[in-house]
Amino acid sequence: MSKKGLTDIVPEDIARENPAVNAESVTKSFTRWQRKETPGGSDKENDSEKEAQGSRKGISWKESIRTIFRQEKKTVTALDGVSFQVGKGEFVAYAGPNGAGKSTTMKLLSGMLQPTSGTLSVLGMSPVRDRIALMKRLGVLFGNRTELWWDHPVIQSFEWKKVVWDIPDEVYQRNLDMVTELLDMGEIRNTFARELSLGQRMRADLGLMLLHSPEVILLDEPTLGLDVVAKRQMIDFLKRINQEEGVTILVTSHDMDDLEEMARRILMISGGKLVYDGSFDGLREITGNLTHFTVITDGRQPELAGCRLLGEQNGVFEFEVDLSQLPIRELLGKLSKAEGIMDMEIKKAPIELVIAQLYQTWKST
Amino acid sequence: MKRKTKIFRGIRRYFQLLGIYARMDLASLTRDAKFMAIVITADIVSNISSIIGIFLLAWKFGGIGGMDWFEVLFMLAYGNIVMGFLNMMGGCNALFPSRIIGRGQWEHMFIIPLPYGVQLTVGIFPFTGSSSLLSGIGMLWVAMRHLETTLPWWWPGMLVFQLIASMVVVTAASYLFSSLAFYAPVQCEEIASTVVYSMEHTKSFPLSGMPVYIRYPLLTIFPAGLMAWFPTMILLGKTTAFENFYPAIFALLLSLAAAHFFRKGFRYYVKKGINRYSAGGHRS
Ligand SMILES: Nc1ncnc2c1ncn2[C@@H]1O[C@H](COP(=O)(O)OP(=O)(O)O)[C@@H](O)[C@H]1O
Ligand SMILES: [Mg+2]
Repeated sequence: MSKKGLTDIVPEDIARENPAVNAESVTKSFTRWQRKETPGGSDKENDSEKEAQGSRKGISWKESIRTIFRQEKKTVTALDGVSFQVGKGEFVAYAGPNGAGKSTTMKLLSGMLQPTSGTLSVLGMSPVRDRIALMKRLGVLFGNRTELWWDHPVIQSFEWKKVVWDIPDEVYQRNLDMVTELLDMGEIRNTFARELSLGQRMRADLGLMLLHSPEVILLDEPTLGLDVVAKRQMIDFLKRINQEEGVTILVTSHDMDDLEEMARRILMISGGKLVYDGSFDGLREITGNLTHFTVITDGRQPELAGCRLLGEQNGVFEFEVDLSQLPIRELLGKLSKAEGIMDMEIKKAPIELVIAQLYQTWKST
Repeated sequence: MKRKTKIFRGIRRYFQLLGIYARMDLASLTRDAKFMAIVITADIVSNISSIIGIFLLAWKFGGIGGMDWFEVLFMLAYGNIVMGFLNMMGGCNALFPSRIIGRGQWEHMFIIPLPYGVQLTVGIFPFTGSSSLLSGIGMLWVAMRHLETTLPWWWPGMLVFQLIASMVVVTAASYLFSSLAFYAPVQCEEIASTVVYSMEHTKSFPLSGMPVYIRYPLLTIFPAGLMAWFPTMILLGKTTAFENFYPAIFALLLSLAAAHFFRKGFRYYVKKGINRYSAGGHRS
């Protein structure tokens, strides 16, 4: 963090000496193979259809052979000198657009990757060197995969975990009762994992993750693909185990709607760099409360002062509004007076926009 | 005393782990009668078909290349025990590590608080994966009733010793080639099964009387001969004292090489990371 202006001061009460998660100038680069596309011929007589496909022809035979002798490799810096700490008992959102480096961070913290440089520790342990000791106290869940046994009922995976993690009977029973109740798993428990819906599967996976009473849990895009109800249920549950059990939570998402509901503190990364670390309110102060909404009318354009029209298509008007400038009540008042409105939808501005806004403030200060 | 309790606890824990996998295997076999009947039938068919050709030839012609028909049966039985045991232990694809790598399943293993070696060896399939082992033991018993020589007292020990050497050879070959999967996970996902199955198919050919230029490669660069034929020769007392230890020495060297390259590949994998999580990447 080079600019102080971007950093909201993180609450003091967080024990800094003994953080649950600690990353110090972590850099991770990947090498990627690349292949050049062959530029299209300068032949102007080509028919227009080809031209419309752009000036590139794809990968030629020659190019395919050439790379045997001279590979095109590109270094991708997924994380670039990232430092942050998460105190015990905190609930932190790790936010950023697709490709920002969120999953890479989670994989580094759970020992699946090694950093190119920098150091990481979770509960004071190195994820790679102290893997076994750490995994007894850490919970990891990647939204795009499941830790459940595919061809077995959920409860079987739970029993498997009890043995493999060597969970004492009373701890297991207490946690099993807790997740069964809080995650509404009564019926799911006896269903085969492959027959669960995505929302049910996520609930079962969450339950499985918590059976060994992890002190820290890492969640990578757990809300991805869930419907609104399932998301709510998951977020409420996470908040609850954070407050009641004191579990430290680090959760990634690229969805501003989810992030806002979840955590008090937000770490935002973009292009592998940390661009914001602080509270949601602090972020609001910098970027405003950017919101997008669409209005469907009978064709007439609604006059909405204080809102910026982004585009129009077949009577669907998309606006942007900063709700910290124009409170939602006033916006609704204006909408109710506009004529010809048939329907509308409100959504938080995409994260890319929030980040762009951050950069803009950054430049102008 | 303290050390003793620690070792005891370790062993108990290991059996606990074997127990949960065994229980899960039983549960998956017995989930319904029709399913169970199908699985068992399929097992019997594949067991019979794996040996029937060679056995009928040996029976019809009273032996192959200097081996009597029951010696051939002994060899087939030995091979079945080797592969049968490995299959039974291979519930977590332990025999086919390139699959684990290629499907991105190692990412499940990272977060389990057990050493990788333990994770790979506790996944037993005693109910759905033991048919070949059982048929092998049965065939061995039949063959031995026809052996004319009386066996020395240490013979059972020698049998176990040779069986272990053969199993190590197969496993080490699989791990050696699987280390390639760390570098090219997509292309090498099935390299372990290719290696293992090709050795398995070749193991049943009696090599007695074969020319040297066929026999030697099959005992060195493509060691299928060590999976059944050569140990059979040893156990039937047709080899020299040095030859008796050849499979074990070969197994040791091959496993050292496999361990070296597999570790190297693994370090590369953790450094580079693979972005691959295929549809088969969930727990099977
Ligand atoms: N194994 C890999 N090899 C090459 N590039 C990778 C690998 N894993 C991630 N990347 C790249 O690193 C960047 C960050 O990826 P990731 O952490 O998955 O982003 P996010 O989870 O925030 O969407 C992306 O540009 C991605 O393409
Ligand atoms: Mg990701």
